Amino acid sequence: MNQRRTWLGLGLLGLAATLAWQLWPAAKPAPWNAAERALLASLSLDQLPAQAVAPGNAVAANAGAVELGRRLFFDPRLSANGQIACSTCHQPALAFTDGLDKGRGLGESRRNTRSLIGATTSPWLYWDGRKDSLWSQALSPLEDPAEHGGNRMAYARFITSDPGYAAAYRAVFGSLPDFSDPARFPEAAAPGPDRKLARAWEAMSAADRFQVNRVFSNIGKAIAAFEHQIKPGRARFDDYVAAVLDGNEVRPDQILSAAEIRGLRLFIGKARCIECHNGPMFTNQEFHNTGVLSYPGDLPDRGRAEALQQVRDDPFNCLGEFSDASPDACAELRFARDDASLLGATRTPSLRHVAATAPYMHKGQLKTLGDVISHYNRALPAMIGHNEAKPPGLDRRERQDLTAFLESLSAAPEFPGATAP
Amino acid sequence: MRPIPESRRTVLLCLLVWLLVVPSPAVAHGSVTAGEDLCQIRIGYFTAHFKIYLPRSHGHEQFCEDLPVAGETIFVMEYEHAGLNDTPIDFRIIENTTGQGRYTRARHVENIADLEAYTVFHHPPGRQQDVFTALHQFDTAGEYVGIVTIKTTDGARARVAVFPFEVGYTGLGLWPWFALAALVLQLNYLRMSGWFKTGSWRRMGLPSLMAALLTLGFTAPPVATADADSAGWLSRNGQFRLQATPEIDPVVINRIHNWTLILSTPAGAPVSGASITVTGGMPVHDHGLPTSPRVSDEPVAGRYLLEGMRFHMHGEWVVAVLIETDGVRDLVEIRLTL
Repeated sequence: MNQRRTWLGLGLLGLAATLAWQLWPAAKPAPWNAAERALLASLSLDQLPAQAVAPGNAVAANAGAVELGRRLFFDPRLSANGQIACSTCHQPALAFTDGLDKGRGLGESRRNTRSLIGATTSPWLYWDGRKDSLWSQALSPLEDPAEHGGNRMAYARFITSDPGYAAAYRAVFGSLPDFSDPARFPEAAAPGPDRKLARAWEAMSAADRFQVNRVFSNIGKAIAAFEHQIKPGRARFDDYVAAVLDGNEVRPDQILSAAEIRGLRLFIGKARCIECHNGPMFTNQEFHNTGVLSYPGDLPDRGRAEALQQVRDDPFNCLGEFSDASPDACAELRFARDDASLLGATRTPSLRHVAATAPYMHKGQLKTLGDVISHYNRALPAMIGHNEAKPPGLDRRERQDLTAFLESLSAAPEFPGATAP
Repeated sequence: MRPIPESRRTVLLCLLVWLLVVPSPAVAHGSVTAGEDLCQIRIGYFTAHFKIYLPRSHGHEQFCEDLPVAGETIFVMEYEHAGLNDTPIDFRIIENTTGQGRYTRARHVENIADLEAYTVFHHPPGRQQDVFTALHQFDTAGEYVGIVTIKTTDGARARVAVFPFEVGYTGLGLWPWFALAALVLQLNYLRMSGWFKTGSWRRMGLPSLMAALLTLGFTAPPVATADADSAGWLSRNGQFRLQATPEIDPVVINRIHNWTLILSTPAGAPVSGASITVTGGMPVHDHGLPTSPRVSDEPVAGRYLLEGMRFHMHGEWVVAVLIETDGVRDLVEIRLTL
């Protein structure tokens, strides 16, 4: 009897010790050293360029284009059934995402909807980087049968038929062609897999096709002009960094909690998140294979490996005739990397507003931030290609601290008409 | 009965603690090299690393042939020969009705008159780059045969690889009983040797536990070395001197930019018309540059324009500049820390 009690006591002691080891908060964090301060500064929103750099889009900073783009962005008439707008999937309240595994327009799209906040800073768009500018990206959902499901001929006609849009278009881009001759311009036409649309498109003269493409690409440029203005909100993290850099070691703790500060220390240190989630948008915009499991019913995603040729062949890329950029300004496209490490690689997402962008990864495979951190903490071999991540060996408390820090990056984004879209 | 030697007991306990503490996914990590490749498929003279996943039920766990349960199954072949990129691959799964079980070979399959009748999955001939993947949902357990067929472009006869496998395979056989018996014997042995009563476990428990905890390991942070230079870099074999000037100062991450390279002999005479190849990466992270930079112009003799440089991580980078001119070939390694 006595012996059993001893065993029980020992067991309870062991349990208490384990729990204390896992849950007991560490001592107050040490002050940041010079190298850490430099890393903190590099992540601050103050590092973000004030003005968007968009050499391919001459109207990126044009106020008329921003307003035209804002109206188009929220207009469901830009779709086959009149119910799908850009904002259907890019909802401002969800940090311009939709809360779904994969986007849902007329059908289900291939991947998870990415946030548009700060998208202007990236040389590549989409998870696989198959587009190289915001204006060119804005065009493909409009014609995707699973998203808006329309065609460029119909969109060009729509702009001319709506007096408000036609006037705004002329104000920004100058003249608007006349598409009223049915012998030259059919109701619906577009290149692509839809054979009926493609036949109608092929039947048009090259000059007429060019006119339609010009209006279509300008729709993209107007929408992009609005999207360039969707900026990350200033988070508590940014105030904390400003205070730390001011040499104020008392104030910071009042801005971020002890757990959030411990999480930040892990973020730039042991957990090595900052290797890819770097810079003021918390992303290097590069392509990495991190061994995410395939989505139910889908083959493992080849990611960037399949997209490079697409963007090189895209008539709406930086070097194409509808781009306003000089070839010198297309360095990313001209010097894009093409090697075996791109198999299964997808583009690093921003972590600003990350608490609002669940579910996570390229097909929403992981539901919570905790799931994502556990995924990286295991860093298991990838199904295809090679997982670049290495397990950082975080214990349970460290994983919680890291989650707390990531949640502290939340802030309301800023965009034109934010109060009344 | 003779007591177990102290050293052996320590080892045993370490092993037990290790089994309890270390989490289960202790599977092989990352790059499997051809030599250690346990699961390889050979199709004619082509080979590929072969693996099967049950992502819904078994996550990242890899299987070679037999699968423990039915369900969504993904077959992956990572080519070991680039030739497979240009070769249409046909992949078929049939119910195994050959009566040969796991000894089914190609000749048994060739005897089947109507292959279609037994086919549960067929991926028609198609080219896939670098890796072949196929997905099949197995609804029932049973014995199956996978058949991979390739036809090379020169019209030669088809090459076939056949692998029998079982779905819903427990795979353990008598092993669990063997392990249980070993455990019972070991515990009985310890009991009879009086180990539990003498308190021996107390003497060895703590050191063993500490040793086991140490085996969990601590990873030391990478040591960064600053190595800056402004007067120019001498090539490895002393053939050239290279001055490299980025057009942005300081160099920051995530911004594409150009460099100016000034190439001279060690004595300082400009070297013109050289062929210059630039690669680079982070040695600590084992990855390359995020772009493919190129030398595109030489506006002045010995002065070259390098376009498309970008770095995407903080830390130590190496930019390798390979220089070739008139049969002389040498390498400059530029180190920078961002």
